[in-house]
Amino acid sequence: MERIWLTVFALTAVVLQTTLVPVVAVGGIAPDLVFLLVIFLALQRQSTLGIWAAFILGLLQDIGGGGLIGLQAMLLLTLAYLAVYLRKKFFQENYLSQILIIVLFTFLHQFLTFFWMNTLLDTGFAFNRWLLMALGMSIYHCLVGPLLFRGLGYFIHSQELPRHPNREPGLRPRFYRLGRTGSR
Amino acid sequence: MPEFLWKWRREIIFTLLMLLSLGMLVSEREPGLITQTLRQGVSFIVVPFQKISMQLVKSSQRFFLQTVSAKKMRAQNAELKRKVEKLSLRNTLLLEQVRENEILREELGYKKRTLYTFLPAEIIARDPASWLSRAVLDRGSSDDVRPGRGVITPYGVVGRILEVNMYSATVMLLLDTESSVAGVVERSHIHGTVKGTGQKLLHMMYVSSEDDVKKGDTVVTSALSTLFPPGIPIGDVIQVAPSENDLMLDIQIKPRVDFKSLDRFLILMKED
Repeated sequence: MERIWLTVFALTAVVLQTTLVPVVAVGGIAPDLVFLLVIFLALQRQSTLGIWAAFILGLLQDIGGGGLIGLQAMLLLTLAYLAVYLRKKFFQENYLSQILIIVLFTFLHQFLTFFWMNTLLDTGFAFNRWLLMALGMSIYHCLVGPLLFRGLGYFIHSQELPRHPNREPGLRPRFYRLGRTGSR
Repeated sequence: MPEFLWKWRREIIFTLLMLLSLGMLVSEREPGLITQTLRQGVSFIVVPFQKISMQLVKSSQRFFLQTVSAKKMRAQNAELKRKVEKLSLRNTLLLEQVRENEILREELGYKKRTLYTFLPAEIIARDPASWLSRAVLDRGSSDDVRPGRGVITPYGVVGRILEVNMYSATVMLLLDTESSVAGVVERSHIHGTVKGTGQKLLHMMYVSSEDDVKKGDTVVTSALSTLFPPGIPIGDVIQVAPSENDLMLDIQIKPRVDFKSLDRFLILMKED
């Protein structure tokens, strides 16, 4: 059941990202729903599932948007692996922590895109362009990210999908019980 | 051994998938059978959803515009009707001149020009990484669209078809860093190559510092172009400066087409 829902989420994110999001972009800067979904899955679900999801979502995004096959897959894989690693180290369950992680990963995502585009395609993009993109997207993601995380969390919780096995028993589930009273 | 694999499964999966992604990315320079099949397969699943989603987005936009500015749109509609009438008359006269021109060219022994027909197309998806400047159209090989076809709007050149699937095609926009088109300055007939910069402006190359190019000049497609018929607007010159070695001119062009609000296109189809 979980795989069916994840496929629906993935397809929805890719379709919205390639159709709706470019329309609501301000100055070429728009939220990246696929990126947010990957980060959510890497932080919330089993680590291998997060890594597989990053690869498949990246490929779907590359092909769905007519981009270079493999670019987003590689970038999202890197981010998912780091997110899986970091969640055990210092990730806490509150909005501030979510926002910090979203901003950190947005900057990293943009930097990696900038680096690969300049290395592979020799595009010669300026550093200030990267900074502007990263800043703009961070603001967007800070607004959209926690809402999306919360919505997905509530949905997954309501479907009673299995959580990743590394979670210590007795701990409040990350993100998706935020806002519920007496959840601890 | 299995225990080792199980312990390091995350790292192993990550490494294998990274290598696979890197391989696909490198092979994109010369797409092979595997990447083509992958693209075809995924497009077959994703494109129908993208078409539905894009229709919903466009309908919402239209509804919003209609409610917000109904009065303004009525006036605009009347104005456009008047324009259409005028342009239809002008079009009839121009078609007559085209026929006359073809007859004269034939009598003078000039090579016959390639004739084009236009296939209307609509955008169904944009590349999320905006730096790439690519878009997906709702026409594919089932409509006889092939890679290399030129794509325009009534305002000017948009780009060229890069890849074709059964029901969709990827267009490389003129802004893409890998995009280039043969252009000519309309006023002085100076030829050059117009290249994308990956940003909002275009760059005209291979123009000598002694050539006559001024700010405000219009650049159109040249007769040297194999993708576009001559005379289609590309953009307007907004800056002319000598290059570092003073041998060439560094020309910045503002494209005629607004790439942010691309909606409908015309794919150039060569007549046999």
